[in-house]
This record gives sequence, C-alpha cells and structure tokens, in this order.
Amino acid sequence: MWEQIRDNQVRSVILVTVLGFILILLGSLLGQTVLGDWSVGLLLALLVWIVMTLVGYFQGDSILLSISKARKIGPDDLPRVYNVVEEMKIACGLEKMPDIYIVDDPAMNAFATGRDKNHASVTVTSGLLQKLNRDELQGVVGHEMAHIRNRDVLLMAMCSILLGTIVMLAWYGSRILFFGGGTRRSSSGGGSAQIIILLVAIVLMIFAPIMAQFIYLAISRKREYLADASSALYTRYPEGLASALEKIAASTEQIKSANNATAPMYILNPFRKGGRVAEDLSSTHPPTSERIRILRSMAGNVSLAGYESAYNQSHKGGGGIIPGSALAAVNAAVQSNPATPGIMPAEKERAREASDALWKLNKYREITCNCGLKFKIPPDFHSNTFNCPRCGTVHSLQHR
Amino acid sequence: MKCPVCKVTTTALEHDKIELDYCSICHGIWFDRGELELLLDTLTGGTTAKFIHSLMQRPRAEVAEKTRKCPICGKNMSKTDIGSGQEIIIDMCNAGHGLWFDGGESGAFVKQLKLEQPAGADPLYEALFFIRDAFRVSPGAPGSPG
Repeated sequence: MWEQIRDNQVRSVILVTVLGFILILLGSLLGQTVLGDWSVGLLLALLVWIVMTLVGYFQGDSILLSISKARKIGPDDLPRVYNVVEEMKIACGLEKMPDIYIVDDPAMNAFATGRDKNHASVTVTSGLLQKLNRDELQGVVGHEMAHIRNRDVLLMAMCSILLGTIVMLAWYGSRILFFGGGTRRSSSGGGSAQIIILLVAIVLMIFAPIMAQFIYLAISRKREYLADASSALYTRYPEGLASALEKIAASTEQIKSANNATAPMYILNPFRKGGRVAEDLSSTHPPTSERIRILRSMAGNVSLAGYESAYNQSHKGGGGIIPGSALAAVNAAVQSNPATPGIMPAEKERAREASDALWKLNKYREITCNCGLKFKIPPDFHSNTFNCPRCGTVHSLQHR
Repeated sequence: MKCPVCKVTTTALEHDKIELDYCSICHGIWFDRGELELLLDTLTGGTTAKFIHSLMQRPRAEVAEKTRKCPICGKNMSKTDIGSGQEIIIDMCNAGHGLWFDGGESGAFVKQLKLEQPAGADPLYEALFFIRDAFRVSPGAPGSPG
C-alpha cells in the first residue's frame, strides 16, 4: 500500500518542481520587463507564493470550509453518515476520525480537506445524502478517505496555491504590461535583447497558466483513479461508488460554492455548463463514464490488482495506475461484498434526515402539532407564539 | 430562507415527509425544487424536470402585482396565471428553483378545482393537492381553512 503512495509522491515532486520553475521564470521575466530588474520580480513572486502557502497550510481547510458554508456534525446529528465515515476510517486504517462537515446544497458532491492525516475532514452536500443509498455513500466516503490516506489532500492544496499564484501573477503582469507600460527606459542599450525578453515574457504570461493547469491535471487525474481503486478495496463493493458516480454525473445541479482552485477537491468536477449533464471533458477529473466502466468491470476482485486489470482493459498500452511493486505485495484477490442488506431509508426519509440535521445545527426548533403537521421554527422567529396553519392550534414558543 | 414578500425567515412545515417553506406573516408558501422532486418523482416517476420546463413555457401574466425575487437565487421570478375563470397568479423562478404561492393563492385554486377534478396526473395539480392536504385536517372537515 505504501508503494503506490511513494511512487505518486516522486511523480508529484517532479511535477511540482516544474510548476515552481514556471513560477520563478514568470516572476523574473515580469520583474525584468515591468520593474527593470529580474531579481526583484523573482523575490516578489516567491514572497507572494510563500505568504499564500503559509496561509493555505494553516488556514486552508478552515477557509475552504467557510467559503463553502460547511457545518460540522457530530455522531448524534447524522448517525448514518457518522457510521459510514467511521467504517471507512477503520477500513483504510486511519488513526484519527476525520471531522465531518455537511453543506446545505442540493447539488451532489463531496470533498476532503486537511493538511495531514490528523487534521483531516470529509465534507458532503445535503443533496448527496438525500440521493445516495448507504452503499453509494460508502463508496464516495471511501474515495474521499483514500485521498486523506494517500496524502493527496495537502499536495493538492499546495498545488492549488502554486497554480493560483502563477495565474494571479500572469493576470496582473499582463495587465501592467499592456496597459501600465512598465519602465520604458529611453536609453535603448541592448534594445534587441529587451525586445526578445519582452516577447518571451508575453508568451510565458499567456502559456504559463495553461501549462500550470496541465501539470495540475496530470497530478490530480492519477490520484482520482487511485482513490477509486482504494475505495473499491475499502468498501469491497465497487458497484456502490460506480452507481454513486452515475447518479452524480446525471444530476444537473451545479454546486454553488465552488471555484477553479477548489474544483479538484470534489469527487466530481463541480463545473458544468448550466443545466447540462456533466461531460467527459470535465478536466480536473478523469472521464466519469470511464471511472464507472473500470469499477464495474472489476468482476468480484476488489483488490488494487483487480482495479489495475480493469483499468488496463480500457487502456490498451500505456502505464497502469498502480505500481508493480505494490501489486506484487498484494497477491490475493479480494472478494467483493454483496450489497448491504436490510431496510434502506427511502429518498424522502434521507432528505428529512439531512434537512433535520441542518435545521438542528441552525438552531431551529421542531414542534409536532396534534394534527400531525410538523414545524421547524427559526431561532429569529418574530413572535412568541406560532399558529398552526392547519388546525389553528396556538403553540407557545416561550419555554425552551 | 427569507420570505420574498416580508423578508423574514420562513418556517419549514413538514407534511408526509415533504417540507414547504411557510411565512407566518403573509401566509405565502414556497415549494422548493428539491421538495417538488420528492413529491412528483415518487408519484409520477421522474417528471419534475419536464414539469418545470412546461411551467416555463406558460404564458407570462401581465399584472400589477409586484415582481418577486426567487429566495434561492435572488433573481426576478415570472408570474403565470393558473386559475380558470378567476385569476390566480403564482410566481416561478426562471432558473427552476421553485414556486411561490402568495397567501391564499393555493387555497383559491383548490376551491376552483373542487368540482372539476383533473383527469390525468398533472404535476401542478399534484403539487397543489399536496399543499391543500398539508393545510387541511381532512378534506371537507368543518372549519378547515380552504
């Protein structure tokens, strides 16, 4: 299990180095063309990056959670969700239970955050809780836990910051260059050299964000497959995740609080054209239809090797997802589990389970009238009494 | 959620595992898209998207009533007349976030419907009958608000 993580880390270090190199190159060229001194530009670029990284490292998850308006839940708020996370925590061998957050959003999605295994959290939307059954939810939570377990979360966060810095510098740089003019020194000493540098700077400013984006994608895509493979292993039921991905891909709701930098943290790319079904072009994640196909063709063997061979069936030639050394270590095929038996709460019950937890977290007061109607009364209700609109009974709100 | 008319926080009413957002000041009701789906998808089998689409195709009503803003996206909603004979105006979010019934609108509609029950399973009737059932102890009971 550690092999593929290490292998991923080596590959990621190389890619991050390339990203860092793009940042340095962009910074110095910007400095040269705008300020007339490459070293100042380089220092400024590094300074911006360091500040953003520090903020991201220590505050990143809380910033992310607050912009997506996530609410932390305990074991009593949503026992079903808490149990699933606890199961997956045991299955993947994490020592500390990650925090669980819920976002009040009809769109279906989930993401993991945190700087290490002991500072991790899993966030799911209320739409996801409503639409997915237990097996599907388990698949999704397993996928997110795999991101935590495989240490993807911090790396992706750091990459987002690096990418964000590059995009920001290129954006401001190009504005300054085209509209601000920079320092046009009249002494045209080495004029042709300056023009060349200017040209390179312009080209770099256009291509740096695109290159950075591609590198970013290269890192995140492989990790998505690996997280899928791990989820299948943890849950022993790849159909759960496959069916969840199918449901999420078919939904037309777009997540409200996502932006470019946070996109890769979701289980499925949250950006889709308004009202259109998610397409295979969604770039930070591999094609969903393919992820589903691989999971479905695992045919009972839910080990990493089972995922690898299913992956190879749809990718003729080219390298696999999981390094050979890791596969060799786990020889035995792992039998898949049957679907969870027992009574599954219907969608309506799941919807109320999720919304009631949110009402409670938002300090709403629940009253059931004798006529059967239930009210969830906001904490800032304008009156001390509530008249049942059905039977007219007056309910006092005085005593808490 | 804030009432699009009074701007105060609405109360959630739960009937038959489905929630309506209700303003206790103006008695208006917001039927959210997600709740409509919960109601209609079990009754008629996944037709909510089609229903919302068909609602959007309805002719817009030209009335003096103030334009309301969708409590979800904050954009202006469109008005359409769903009454037969007597005018009954409802507001619908153009992005399909839900339907707003001003206080009394749904009741007036149900009153009109009393004699002419719909032949097929029309999603709009289903939604309105649901609201009626949520607000009435039992159909025809004395003293029940219409």
